[in-house]
Amino acid sequence: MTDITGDDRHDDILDVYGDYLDRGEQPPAELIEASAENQLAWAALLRVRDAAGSLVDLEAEAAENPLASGWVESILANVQREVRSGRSIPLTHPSPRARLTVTEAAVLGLVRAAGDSVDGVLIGRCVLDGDVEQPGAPVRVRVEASVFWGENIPDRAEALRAAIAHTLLEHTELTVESIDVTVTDVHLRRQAPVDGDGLAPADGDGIAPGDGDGIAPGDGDGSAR
Amino acid sequence: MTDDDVTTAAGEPVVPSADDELARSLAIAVLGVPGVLQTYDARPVVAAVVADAASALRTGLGAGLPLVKPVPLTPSSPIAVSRGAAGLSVTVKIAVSEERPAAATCRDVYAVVADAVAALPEGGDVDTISVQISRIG
Repeated sequence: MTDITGDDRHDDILDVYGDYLDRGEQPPAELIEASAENQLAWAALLRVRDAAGSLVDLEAEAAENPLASGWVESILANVQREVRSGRSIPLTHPSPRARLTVTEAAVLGLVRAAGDSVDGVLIGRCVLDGDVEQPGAPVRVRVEASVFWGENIPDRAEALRAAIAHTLLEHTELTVESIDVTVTDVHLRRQAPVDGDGLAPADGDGIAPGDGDGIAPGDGDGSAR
Repeated sequence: MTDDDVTTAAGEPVVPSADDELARSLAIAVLGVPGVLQTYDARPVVAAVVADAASALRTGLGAGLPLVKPVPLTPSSPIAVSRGAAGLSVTVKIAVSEERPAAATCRDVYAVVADAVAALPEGGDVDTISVQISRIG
């Protein structure tokens, strides 16, 4: 039996949510509200579901390219890893008795939400590189993202960077050295925007290379498809 | 007697400790800080499980019941209060709104807790006050 409080650490929370959704049920509010991990995972799951729903039929896409629908699984696996508390990121305070922190999961959730809010973009993976537990230590934010076909990739990448930079500056005291955006996938919308440029749809490998403005292509770590 | 009161199987009221009362009052104060959306259970996992199980047994609940537990079984709040040789320690875990800077909300929560602890009759020996933001937005 699933513990409704979400305390059963043997079950990944996304698997638990999946069980409910597969039955056509909404997970109970008590489960979603039981922990920050559960809430972060639920919010991310809804955004991925909404984004996936706006794409061309994933099953048809998968028939042409078995890796095509794997990106959803990849994103959810990353979400599952990111929602766990992780490291404690300090917030300064003059009192020696104060221990003020924000969890790495909260920051990654913030980054993911900011990224997903950028039109035409869906975050795949977020990583904070650097000693985030050391105040003032330089931190490199690495983000992998999917972009919808028809979007200007450099433009979307810059919008993504700006959104992430703004939210991190607003809510954390991290010393952000860089925000590296890697576009790993391009996906077709159900109703592609009319852009009149006559471009053909993506050719199946789904990888749009960067154009030298700082957007790196897939880095060969297996995440690029 | 209110709905929140807990009694033993024999009908005797379970009297919360001073630290339980402090934790409860701190939770109310923390939830009143602008930008705080909710608090999370900040007790160490083992302590929380033991406390809930003990309370369940005291109130005649527990054996054979499913793990479904949508409402707290104990009068204690999720804010952790403990006492050590160096003094009182308080741990608060919160979700905060994106509507204002999270760090500012965190400092306001610290200030509210510090003020409340300083106002205690036996106040003064404070070891640490920990405030952790577990979710933003």
